[in-house]
Amino acid sequence: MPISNYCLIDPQGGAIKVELTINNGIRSGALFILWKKDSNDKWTEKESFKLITGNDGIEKHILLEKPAEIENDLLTWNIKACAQINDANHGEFSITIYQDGSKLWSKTSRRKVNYCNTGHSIFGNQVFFKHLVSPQSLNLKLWKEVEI
Amino acid sequence: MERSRNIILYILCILLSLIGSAQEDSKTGNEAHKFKLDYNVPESPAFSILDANPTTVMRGNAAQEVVISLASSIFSNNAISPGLAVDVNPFFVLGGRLQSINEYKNNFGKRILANTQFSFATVDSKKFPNDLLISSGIRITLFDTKDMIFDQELSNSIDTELGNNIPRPNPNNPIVETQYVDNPTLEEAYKNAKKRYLSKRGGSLSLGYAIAGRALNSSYKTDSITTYRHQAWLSGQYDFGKNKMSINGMFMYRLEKNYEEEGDSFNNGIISGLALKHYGEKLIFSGEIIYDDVHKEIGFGAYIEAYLLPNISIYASYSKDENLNQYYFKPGVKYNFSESKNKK
Repeated sequence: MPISNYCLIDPQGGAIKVELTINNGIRSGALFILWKKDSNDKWTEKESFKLITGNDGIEKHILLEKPAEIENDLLTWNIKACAQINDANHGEFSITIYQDGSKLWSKTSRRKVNYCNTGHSIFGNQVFFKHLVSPQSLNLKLWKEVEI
Repeated sequence: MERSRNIILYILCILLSLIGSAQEDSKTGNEAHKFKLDYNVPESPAFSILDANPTTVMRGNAAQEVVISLASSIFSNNAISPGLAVDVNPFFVLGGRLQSINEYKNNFGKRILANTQFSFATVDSKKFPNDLLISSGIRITLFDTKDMIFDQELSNSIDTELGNNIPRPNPNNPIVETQYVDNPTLEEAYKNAKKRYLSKRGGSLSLGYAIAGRALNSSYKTDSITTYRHQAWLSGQYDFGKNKMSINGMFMYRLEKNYEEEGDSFNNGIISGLALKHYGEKLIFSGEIIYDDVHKEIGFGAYIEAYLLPNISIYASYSKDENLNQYYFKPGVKYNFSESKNKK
């Protein structure tokens, strides 16, 4: 898993907000699922939600799961999209994760999509949640001592 | 001969660009089907100033993205000048971007840019047999109350469909590469939108300007090109919503240079007209009456356009050729890259 697919969150911070944006008048609907590995090393669904970007090209959702409880959880998504305006079938799709108003993680991809009058396009991706190690953390102090 | 070679060269250039466009679109798994109604393709502004359009009264509705018009003498007598016009809507082609559908709806400036069309044409003139006529024009749609981007019912249908049956995103198996999927439900939503469009009342208004020049002895050297005509116009259209009928009106100012042995002179005046059009599924036909203040005369015209092949419409008109001062049968072909009527 590339490092760009990890999102560091503060376990003591506020709720996690997931935002989907798309420009150029492209319409999209997305299904997000938050997964957790069980004791048998199998992924089980914890939470799912849909985002429809509509006329504004933007939609967001606040995760029900508390930040302290999503360490090592995986958020996956698939996006169905199509272009409504002539010659505007290229757009930038962004998934952004916020906590307490700060942007923690973002992934932007430029995609070419079908025109809505014939079909749609599908693509997706995923991100792992990891707890941010606090500067006051005992573990971090130990690592610093080791480095010295 | 030289002129014919030039026209063939233009056609080849256009065909090459079309092939490029088709290849690009094939990556999406579809042909170039887009979202405007191909039975309402506006006339070419650059053809208008060369009197090469099949009708005089131009439509007022929103422009298509890329339209090629070919005026031909193949099906007619030799009086008709063969020619080629290319109409391009450059905003998106040149990388213009919109933030969202709401920006298109609410930002008048962006909407104007997205509905501005540039036009270029050339014809093999019978009036100036040694020269090639060239022209360019611009056409701006100020408003179109039937613009389908404003059809919220269609937008809602698209959103509903996009929100349904989204494949479950499985862990560690993301769909990184874009997959293109045909969607009959979306196609049906568009068919319904077109039915609403046909039965909806509404109007549109556009303005335009064009300039025409003569390439003396068919040479494109700067000092061989002289301007001989300017025109600016306002055209409007109102669809009654019943019987697929619409009325079009046009008000044009034209300034042209006369080339005479005793010295050049200028003519100017208003050309105005009204046209009644019927928009069928496969056929458009219309009749028009024109008052030409430049030549101090009233003229008439009849027009028929048929959609027999995907992306291609064939048209013919019977109207007066100002250059030859006679009524002629004028055939032609339009290739609309903005949408196909008979898809697949």
